[in-house]
Amino acid sequence: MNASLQGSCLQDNAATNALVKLCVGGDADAWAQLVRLHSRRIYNLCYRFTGSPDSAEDLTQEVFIKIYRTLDSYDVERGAFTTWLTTMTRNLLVDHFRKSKHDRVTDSIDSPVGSSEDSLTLGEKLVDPALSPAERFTRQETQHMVQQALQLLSPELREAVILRDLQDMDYNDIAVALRIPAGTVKSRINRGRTELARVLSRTNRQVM
Amino acid sequence: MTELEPTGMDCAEFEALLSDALDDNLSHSQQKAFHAHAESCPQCGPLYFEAREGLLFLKTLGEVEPPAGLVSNILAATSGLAMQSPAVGSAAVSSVANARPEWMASRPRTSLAGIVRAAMQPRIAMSFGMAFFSLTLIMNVVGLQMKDLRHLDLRPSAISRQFYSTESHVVKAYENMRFLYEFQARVQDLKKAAETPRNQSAPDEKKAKPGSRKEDRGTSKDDGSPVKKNSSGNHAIDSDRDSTPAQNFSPSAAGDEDAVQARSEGDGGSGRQGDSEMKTLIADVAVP
Repeated sequence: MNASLQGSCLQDNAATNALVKLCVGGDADAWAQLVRLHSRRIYNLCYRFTGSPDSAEDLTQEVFIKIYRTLDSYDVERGAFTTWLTTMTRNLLVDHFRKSKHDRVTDSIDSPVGSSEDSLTLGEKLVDPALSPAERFTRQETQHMVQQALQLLSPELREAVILRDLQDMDYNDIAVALRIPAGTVKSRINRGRTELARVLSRTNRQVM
Repeated sequence: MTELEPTGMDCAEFEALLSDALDDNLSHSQQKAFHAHAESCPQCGPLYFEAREGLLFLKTLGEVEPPAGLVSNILAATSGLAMQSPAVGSAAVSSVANARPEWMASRPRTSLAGIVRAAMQPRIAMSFGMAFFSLTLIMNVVGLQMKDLRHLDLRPSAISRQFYSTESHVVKAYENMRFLYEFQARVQDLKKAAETPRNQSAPDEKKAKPGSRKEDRGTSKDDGSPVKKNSSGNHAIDSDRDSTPAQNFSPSAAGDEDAVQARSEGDGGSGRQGDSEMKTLIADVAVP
């Protein structure tokens, strides 16, 4: 992480902390701004973990309700607001995973995940003109398969690779958010990546 | 493979550096040793390639666009929280921390609420209704009322006492009915026995002694042996049913005076005894 990136992160953290203080003081605009700043990231985290747009939306709302209720308990000294938010989200995701254990379907990698409209990425919605229709289709299929394979990972490995590879979080922040040592974080990320590659390799062999 | 390789790196070290290698965070020397180990180790080589492949797959997943109304929904939900709390406005957000928002209240999440919601489904409610209706109907038909049930003594000792009392009543009723039928059958036999010889063989009737009809009552058809008595001292009815009065007093059997006399003698001369038994039977019937 270079110096300019670090500087921007620190600025972001300082701005977020100021917003949090305003929120705790009862500023409704500050709260709205905080929601706008972080809702997209939390929604993506929830979507990649659950694989369902509806569940992701519900969980995102739930996360912000919880944040709203417990915002005064956030301690700036104990870590960045983003990490605290991620911890909250992760706890709710784990709860959701436990509750929905019975009606979860993980046996078919070919079944679609949610509605196609909701699971489109921003790039797909904007339609990249550089990609031909065939390439767009291939890319969409790959994303679909990867998302399905992600659902087959254990929640521990899944959350680790999502936070690292999709949310671009630092190892130390992941360790704080998941409340595990940094070494365990790295080990889980490695295992998650290899496991995902194996699942996709098996799937490709079955398709062939 | 944990032993130190000629490359200067063992498998544990390789695994520890794997994520850093994929992030391009290794120094030049580390990178050199890492790749040398990956090429030489049969386990770590494939592990590296799989991890890299997994990372590349994950990087294909872009950011997903959230639903359009997500932010407004969140704000509406949280402003609902604020509206519920009397301490909102310029007060701290923490003052509403314990308030339960309206949208959450409308979506019951507890297990009890789930059970109630499941029980309120039309199918379940209909089943309960039908079961209640059937039970009420059966109770009405049987003649049971709720106020009767209230006085029921359901202690085990009371139930046991009630059972034995009912059983003794049933046994007594059965015995009485049995005796009554037996007695009726006997009286009918005697009536028929008295009428048949009078109609069929008047001369024989004159010859026959008046007590011979009664004497025959205590004998069986075949061998003239005394009729068995049951445990209560009453005459068994089976042999009498088999031997009709007409047979007993037919000309071939009873028409012959000697035969009749011999039979009455075979009976042990129990003409008077039959009379006394008859009186006893009548007295027994009168008792219940």
